[in-house]
Amino acid sequence: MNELGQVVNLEGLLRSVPDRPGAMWARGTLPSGPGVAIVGTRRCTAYGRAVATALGRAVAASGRLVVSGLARGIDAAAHRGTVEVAGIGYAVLGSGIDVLYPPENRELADRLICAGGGLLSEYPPGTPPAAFRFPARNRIIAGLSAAVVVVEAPVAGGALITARLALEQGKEVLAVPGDIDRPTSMGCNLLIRDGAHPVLSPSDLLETLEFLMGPAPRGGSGTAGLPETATLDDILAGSERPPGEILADLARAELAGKGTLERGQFSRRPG
Amino acid sequence: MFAQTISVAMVGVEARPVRIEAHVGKPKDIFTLVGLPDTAVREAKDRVRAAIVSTGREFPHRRITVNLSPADLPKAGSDYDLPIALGVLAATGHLPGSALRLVSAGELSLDGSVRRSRTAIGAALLASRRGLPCIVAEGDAANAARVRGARVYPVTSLAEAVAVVAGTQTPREPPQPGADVESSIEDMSEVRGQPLARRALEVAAAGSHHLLMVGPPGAGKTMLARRLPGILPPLTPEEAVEVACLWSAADRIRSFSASPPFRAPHHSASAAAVIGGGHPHPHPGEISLAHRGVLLLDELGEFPPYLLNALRQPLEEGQVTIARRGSTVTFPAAAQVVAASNPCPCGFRGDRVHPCRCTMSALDRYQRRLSGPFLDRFDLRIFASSPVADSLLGPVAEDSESIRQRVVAARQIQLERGAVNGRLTRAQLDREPVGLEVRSLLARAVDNGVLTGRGVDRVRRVARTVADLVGSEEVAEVHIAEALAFRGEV
Repeated sequence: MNELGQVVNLEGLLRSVPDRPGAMWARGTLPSGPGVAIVGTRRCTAYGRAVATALGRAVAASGRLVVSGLARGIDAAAHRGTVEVAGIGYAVLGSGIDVLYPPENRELADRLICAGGGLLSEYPPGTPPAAFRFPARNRIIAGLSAAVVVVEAPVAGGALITARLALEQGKEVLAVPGDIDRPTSMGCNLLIRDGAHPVLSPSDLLETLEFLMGPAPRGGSGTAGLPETATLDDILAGSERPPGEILADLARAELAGKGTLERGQFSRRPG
Repeated sequence: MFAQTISVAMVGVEARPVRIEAHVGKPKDIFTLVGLPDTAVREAKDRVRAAIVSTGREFPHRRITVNLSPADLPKAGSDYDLPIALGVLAATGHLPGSALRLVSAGELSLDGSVRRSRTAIGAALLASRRGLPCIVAEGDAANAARVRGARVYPVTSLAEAVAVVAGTQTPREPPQPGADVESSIEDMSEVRGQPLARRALEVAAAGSHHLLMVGPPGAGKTMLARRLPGILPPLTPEEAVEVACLWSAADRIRSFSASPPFRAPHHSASAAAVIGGGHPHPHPGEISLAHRGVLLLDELGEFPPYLLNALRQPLEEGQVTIARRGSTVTFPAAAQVVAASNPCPCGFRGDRVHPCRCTMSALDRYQRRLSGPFLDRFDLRIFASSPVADSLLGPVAEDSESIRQRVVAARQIQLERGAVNGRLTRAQLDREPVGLEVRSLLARAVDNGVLTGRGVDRVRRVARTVADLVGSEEVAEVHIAEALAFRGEV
């Protein structure tokens, strides 16, 4: 696979999108099913960024796919949370698959791909980023998701467009409430007034998703079948595999937020 | 009448020649010794006199002057007895002066027998460098003969030395050296359970990484550490000579062995004993005695902080320079450190059975001691849990020899690359390409706060060793992930 990615047909996943593209360009893997979109304004506040990262982390760690853009602000923050826990995330671009914009998110794109996620674009390679293409991209983000979480959005902005498109596609819309005197939260509060489900905390979001989408698929790391807490010695002694491989599995699981390695013990994180 | 011969003085581990000149003058009963001798050397006069008489010769009633040159090099110990006696005998005409072109070292007892000396290996080094034969006590001959190119003549008495020098007796062959590797070393097969620590020990041995083991009392930390020398690669003959030199510089005789040394100083040991020191002539400390071997710091939290700080620089540079008024010497000190510590003052923090009884403030003090710049040198940190009963009754584990074969293979790869992994600098690490997967895993670990910047280097060094153990040219993601499991926390 090179920078230009491969041409793929995602019509199956995008059934809900009326004017879905017949072909798309992709790098990394393709989504295995509907994900959870985490979107918001590019000009976000520190609050929005922190919430987006926390939600990205929680959703990805629960084994669900995170879908967003690759723009500055909420998009990048959500994906940063995703890669932090080695979760799977997809970034839908408003430019060609080889035009990573903004440049500071190139590394983030690499890490998404490394962690098993990918990049998607309906525009041919070389297409420059342009403001008018982003609303169109938002319909793909909504289309790839079972639910759209708006973290921070002013009243007029791309995120509210995504929310509207999601509703039109019959997807669930959730919004993170914020201060009423903060312009970047006005859009979210408006959505909640109009019936969007408020997101009260990362675990609250996970509960809602469980209700909407059913139980999350479990990631296949080496920790399955372990007791809540076990000493490394017991884990190593209980397996025929080389100790190095098992230790590597446990370290990966820790980085994926599935547990902690401490004092010679591995403790599985519940949930 | 005048005669001269050669002996040796050790400066650090360097063998410097000492010329021993003997002059016999007018009839008078005077024996003087000049050339910066210390008390033990000065007492040589009486031993030499008695030993010569014991060979059946009369001690010359003349004015005898013996000069040890160069005069500014301090000389210590009793090892000049034999060369002084030979010099005096040659100066009085009992021996041909031309026959003294040799290096000798040994203490004389009053009955004329030659005792072991701490400079015997130095004498052999000097002799082989100069292409001269070398006469040492029989007990030292096996060690001295290990020096490459040395012609070693063992003697048991002054009379035999005289006969060998005069050519009336053919020199004997030095006795055969003993077994290369001590078989009495404690074996890894005696360790039941502890798979985590076993793996850490193997990685530590393969990459010469410093290892920190934290765990409750009875977890077997000390027992494991004692078995590290047994899985290290055997010393090369050159390394063994170097180690034997260091030991003799510390007035200890280590029988020549390819087994890496093991030292475990108590935490009450003084800085001079651990780092090296002494007056006026510095002796190597425990860290130098453990050169090319293992230095165990048991109960790390009990060692005074100043001592640990003093250990930092030698560990980094692999040598220690000790400056005293009398002289400044540099001793090699490339020891691999294993530190063992309880997790807290009472020892049971994190134990699965016993509760910890420490107060928060005591814990805090202890933790502070166990952190900081000294521990930054430890690439591998593990928590050793106390073993459960059924693992103690489990099957016999792999023996040291099998583990050592893997270690030796991994070391070989590192030597071809140029340096052992435990000593790789960041610049050396960066010379290798880093794959995207590896980069991403490390970045994630840093983002999660699992790893600090310094920790990244440690993890990369350990991962290099893990890769070498399986003969992998490239450090892959799985190697980094395993290394992450050894990053430990104190």
